[in-house]
Amino acid sequence: MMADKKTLKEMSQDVLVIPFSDELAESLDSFCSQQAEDITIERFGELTISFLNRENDEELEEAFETFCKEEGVDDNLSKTAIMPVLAEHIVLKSVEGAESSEERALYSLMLKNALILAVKGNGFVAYPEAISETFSTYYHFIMDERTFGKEDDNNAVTRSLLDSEVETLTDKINEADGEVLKAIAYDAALYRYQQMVDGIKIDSENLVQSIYEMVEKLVTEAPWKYIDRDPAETIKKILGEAVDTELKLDEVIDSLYEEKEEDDLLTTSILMRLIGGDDSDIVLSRDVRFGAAELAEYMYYEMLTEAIVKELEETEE
Amino acid sequence: MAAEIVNKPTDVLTGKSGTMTAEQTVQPTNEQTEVEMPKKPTVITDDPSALYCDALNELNINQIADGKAIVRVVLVGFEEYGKSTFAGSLYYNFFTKESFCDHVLYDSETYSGFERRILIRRMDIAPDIKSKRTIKGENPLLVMSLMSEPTGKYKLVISDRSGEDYSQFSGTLEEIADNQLLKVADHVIFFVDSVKMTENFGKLRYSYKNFLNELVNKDLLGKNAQVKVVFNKYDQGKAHQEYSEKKKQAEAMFSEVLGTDRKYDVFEIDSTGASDRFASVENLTKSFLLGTDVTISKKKKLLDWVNNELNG
Repeated sequence: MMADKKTLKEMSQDVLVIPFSDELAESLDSFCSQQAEDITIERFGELTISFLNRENDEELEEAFETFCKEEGVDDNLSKTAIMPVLAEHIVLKSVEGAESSEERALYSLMLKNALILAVKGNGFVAYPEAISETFSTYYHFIMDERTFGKEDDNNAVTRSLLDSEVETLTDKINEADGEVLKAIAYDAALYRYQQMVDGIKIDSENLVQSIYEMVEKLVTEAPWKYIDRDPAETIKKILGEAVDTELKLDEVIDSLYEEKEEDDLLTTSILMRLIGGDDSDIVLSRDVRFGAAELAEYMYYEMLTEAIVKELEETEE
Repeated sequence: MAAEIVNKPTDVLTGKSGTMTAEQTVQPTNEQTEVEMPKKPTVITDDPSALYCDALNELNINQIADGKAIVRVVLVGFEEYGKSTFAGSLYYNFFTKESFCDHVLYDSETYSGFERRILIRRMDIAPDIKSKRTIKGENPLLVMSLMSEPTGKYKLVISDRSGEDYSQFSGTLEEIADNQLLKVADHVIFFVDSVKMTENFGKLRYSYKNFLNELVNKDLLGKNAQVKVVFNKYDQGKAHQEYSEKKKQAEAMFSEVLGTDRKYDVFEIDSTGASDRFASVENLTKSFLLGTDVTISKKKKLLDWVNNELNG
């Protein structure tokens, strides 16, 4: 489902009595395309939170007013009603039109993380069908670009490397197919990851603390952050019988308050921010409940997203 | 007319008396009695109806959108079929009761529009008043701000056009443009006058069939709209021997034109409330008020990627 004037018109049906006309939808779609171009990670997060909270983003509102004046668009529309829709459309366009597959995966993760506000709270989403179409973006990124395997060749090259002398190893590596080498490294990383996972134990007496430590380990101590293609299964396996234990959000926050002192969290890392004492723009009842696996999955992806952003920033430097 | 000279009474304070000139009232000319049909305003600041909460139209209705859920209901039917009476009764019940159908009216942008409908509702009681019912071209859109515990606050928008708009409907581009709400309505309620149905079913059938064909052929009925067929004035209609038979034939006509894919609900009401103390009005109203958060829970399920992943 492309984020185009048709989806924008569909979105407007949720917030206006008479939805956008075709002409207006086209004009506003063009405005949203402009906003999505060269969007930054920070801006993406701000717009995501603004539409979920159904609040007018000031910068977006100003840009909209300027656009209306320049293009002669009737700006006599209820801004309270349409700003969140435009913000949501820009977010979708940003995911779709990201410059690289890595950026696309990152934006989709940020969006998914923030959706806790809609799933567990009263966060607003005008077009859930279009939003849900972005969910598999990260998985496809992992499968298409972060998975390696050429089994027959792996064995032959592995044998060759293990049989060679240390002095000639570099030459062997240079001769080998890059894809095969990556596959071998991937297999090794996977093995190490499995060993690490098998060694994680859950203390059911301190379940929240245990979940936090488990997730932190899975993300920060994994041999490679993209190694786990099915974190849900990993989490369920580690939690065992505790998988469905119900936990309240205020219990989670109280147990982990200021566990992680991070100033620079993404606006979309809702749980991490709450744990760190930052609840600005977070509209979520403290009575909200999670299953243990559910909580772990939310935390895992928030931490993973933070790790990916950190790596991207280090690469840019 | 020449000015008349009249005697001015003695000024009590000064003791002076004198004369004053009183001018006769100037008779209005023909030009002054010509009433200009107001243009449909596009902005609220130019819109005099906003000053006294009159009904709105499709050009300015979006200004009531405030981010809350909106339920759109379109009342369809020919002249004197009871649409405005129903709208008036609806408003009357919400306004005079603490809650109606477990929903509370806490505001309206179109109070005057509703009040007018209550006024013309009383026309049967005062038959010597000859002024027309809802006038063709009059703003048709009425708004209620409602709330209930399961749904929270939301807006109910009701389209109550004059019957002539429908009896003269021929599917022109202008008419289609004026009926955008019909295309996106959540509920479309077709009113049938039970008395006219029993007295002259042929005429009703002919008129309604042509009209419905226009709607269907011009694709004016949204595919997601919940359709209701309402036999209004049923308290009077059922006194006729042929009522049941004619009602069946009317329903068959709707089924024929709307198609077998389009399901609809049937209601019998007395929109004045006189015969049943609004019991039937309440029954119909419950069918279109915002229900428990079926849509919201569907949305949440779709967005719940975590549980979708955990449950494979």
